[in-house]
Amino acid sequence: MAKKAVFTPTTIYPSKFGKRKKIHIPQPDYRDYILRKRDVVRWEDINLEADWHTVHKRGVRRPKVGEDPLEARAVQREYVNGTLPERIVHQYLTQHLHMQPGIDFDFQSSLDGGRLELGGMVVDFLFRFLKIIIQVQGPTHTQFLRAARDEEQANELALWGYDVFGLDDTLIYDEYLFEEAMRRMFALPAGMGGSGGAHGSYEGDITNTEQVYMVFQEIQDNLILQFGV
Amino acid sequence: MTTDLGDISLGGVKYRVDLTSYKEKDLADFSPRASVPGGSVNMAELLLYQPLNMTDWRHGYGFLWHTDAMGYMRSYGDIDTRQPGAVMMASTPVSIADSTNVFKHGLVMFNNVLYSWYDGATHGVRKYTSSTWSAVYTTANVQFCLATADYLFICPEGARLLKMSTAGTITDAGIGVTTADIACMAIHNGKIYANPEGTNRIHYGTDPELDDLDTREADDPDHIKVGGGRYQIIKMISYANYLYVFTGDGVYVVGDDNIARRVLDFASETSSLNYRSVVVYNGYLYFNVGSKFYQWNGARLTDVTPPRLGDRYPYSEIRYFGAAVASGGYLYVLAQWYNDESTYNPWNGYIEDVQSLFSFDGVGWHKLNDLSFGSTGPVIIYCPLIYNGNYGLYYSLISGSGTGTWQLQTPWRNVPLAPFAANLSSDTAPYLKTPRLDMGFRRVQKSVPSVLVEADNLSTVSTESRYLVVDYYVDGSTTIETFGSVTANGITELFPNQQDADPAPTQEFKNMVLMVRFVNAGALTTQTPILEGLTVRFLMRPDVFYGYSFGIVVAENYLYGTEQASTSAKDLRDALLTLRDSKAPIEFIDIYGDTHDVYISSVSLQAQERHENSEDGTNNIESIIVVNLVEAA
Repeated sequence: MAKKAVFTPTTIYPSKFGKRKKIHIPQPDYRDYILRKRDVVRWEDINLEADWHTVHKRGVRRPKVGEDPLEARAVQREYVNGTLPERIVHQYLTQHLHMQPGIDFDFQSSLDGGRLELGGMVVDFLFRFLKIIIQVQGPTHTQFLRAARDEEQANELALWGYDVFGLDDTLIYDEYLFEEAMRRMFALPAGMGGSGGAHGSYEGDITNTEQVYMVFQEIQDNLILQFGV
Repeated sequence: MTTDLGDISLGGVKYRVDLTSYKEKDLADFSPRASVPGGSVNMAELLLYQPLNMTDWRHGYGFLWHTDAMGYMRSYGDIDTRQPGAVMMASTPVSIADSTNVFKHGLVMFNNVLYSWYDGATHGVRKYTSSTWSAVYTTANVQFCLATADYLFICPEGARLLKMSTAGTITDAGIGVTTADIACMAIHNGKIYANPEGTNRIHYGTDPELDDLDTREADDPDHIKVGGGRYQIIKMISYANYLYVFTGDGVYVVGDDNIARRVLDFASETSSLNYRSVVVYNGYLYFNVGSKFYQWNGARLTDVTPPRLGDRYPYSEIRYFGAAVASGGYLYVLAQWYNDESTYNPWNGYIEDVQSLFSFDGVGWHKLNDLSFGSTGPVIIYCPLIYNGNYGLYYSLISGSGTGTWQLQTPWRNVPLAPFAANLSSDTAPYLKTPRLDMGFRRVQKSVPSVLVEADNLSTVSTESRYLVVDYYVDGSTTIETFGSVTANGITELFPNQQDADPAPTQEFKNMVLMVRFVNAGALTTQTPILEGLTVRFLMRPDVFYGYSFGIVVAENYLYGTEQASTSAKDLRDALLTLRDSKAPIEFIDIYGDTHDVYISSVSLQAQERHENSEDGTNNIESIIVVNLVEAA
């Protein structure tokens, strides 16, 4: 495609009804030396339709196809009306932890009146048997008012005997971090160790209550000897 | 309408086209970026190929297709996949000989000593101290033992209940001689419950020495009847503040009012194989009914049966469950399953029943050890099993043919520790098999130039010689091909078809299964090769199909070469509109004479010039009709 020349007026002529006036555009004290440049390629000679002429600024065109990996980890929106991270947690609870919604946990459970009454609250996942609550935290939960409200809710729920766990959406999106978090939350084997380690020795460990009692007895005897308590 | 003049043919009709408008273009993407349903596909490697990563296997076995980033298909031999970010060999069990009595129906820890009992051939109770078994009670067969802090209660068959003190003194227990022939016992809510053999009665005593226990129906007005009497009690366990009683027709709960109520009905599945596994793990009650494994939380029942092993019909599944125990955050259960991997295992294929140690971590199932193999058909196994942190994991396997093994894994920890199987060849080494990797698109061909294997704890020292071997098969083939061996720690790139003298640089497939063998070839039993990651580099290569676009000259009696067609413009137009509406693909012969099945995806008519009406009276308007075709691939 040929480029068209653009006419650039060097002077401005006043209308015949006005006085001719020269406009002065403010200029900086220092000006770069500018070379006028021009294409040396004649565009009309370039055949963009040629089969060998392929311009790939970002590599070969390769669209993403297939399921969204995050959606694939989530229960369908038609089944659970929640945000994506909430639906991922829901899928993990039902698919991997073998829980049944409505029995093992309630999703978006209303407590103390829920949204209908002043002071009520809605928790994301309520586990009545386990007495824990999971709150899925969105990107705005660190804002002052949200954080203050969450803290107040957590305190209130703690008074009712519930432990409240918060899960950031960024953590939920990382399937490995999420796996660890869920395992620890539900007291399942996680990457935290606790098996005595590869070099530990159970044989040398204190293994029964009688031995534990003896150790504490020894500590108490030492305290009495040294401090008279 | 003449049909033999023209450049192309559509639906059997030839048309003259404006040749300068003829275009032919591929419509399929060169190599679209796939996303796998289970995740773990990186969208960009900044290169042509796309990586699929597998770096964690904690969701266990049973994933036929790669629908879970942390799942795999199956394993063989001693393999532990419970560790985050790693696969290693599982500790191998040590067989403990007991020349006098290899049979053990039950195991119990009392006063930090392991005791066993056996209900047959007057083997009674034996104990294991200083790596030696010795007899404790031999007068009668023993049906059950229950340990408290002060006593080991022994239930001889047809004889009076006994109690053994921590000093080893055995005396009578119960009110009198009628307190006899007890089949099972349980501690619950400050009482000790006992069930006389073959009955549906429960009696209980509150005295620590059980001097107040009477198991005769007429003498104990406080006894509890469980069910209608047809089904005898099989097991009892305390769970969630209730006493759970397992009988042939279901599961009963005994409340504070001493009334047994049936909460689960399995009357239609009555079997001697039910409730061999009964264990409380992580707040849930687990038990088996036949070859199903259930989780009960007091309100609902969930099927957590271990999944299938393998992808070849008849599928390998667990047939029988044995005893189960919970410890260290895991549930362990012994089970018998049927292996049918002979056609896929070129190293030491076998088709037979296998007794294995399985582990459940609340999420996935892991098969830790293949313990014994029965090649003569199904074998009923009795699997007492107990865990003690001091010593290890004990269990015995007793076949119906009168042979048995008695084993110990010690010291048993969640992270496997020595001993590991040694002096293995690549033929006998345990292996892990990935799911079928289809990258989310089963029907699309892929091309793989290499895989990257992350490994650790390998050794090339001749006395140790630990390495990994990576093999594969594609599209369900029974031919195993190889990527090669990994002998150095860190990341190793392996290339396909290494079994060939002149390997092809890439492997094409629709789905691929990788098999990683853990070879501990030296004599060292304290180390294991560790697999930390697998990365498959692949390119999606969908089949190509084409689109065509050209302008058809629609004119009356148009000239073609030196001949003239006898058509009207309207005839040509009407024919194209009819083809546009065709529900089935139409035949298209292009300007080079090649035939394709196509659909007309669009018709665009541009009128050019009006002429006198045609001979048939229709309007004779000369036009160019631009049609687009898509190949029906």
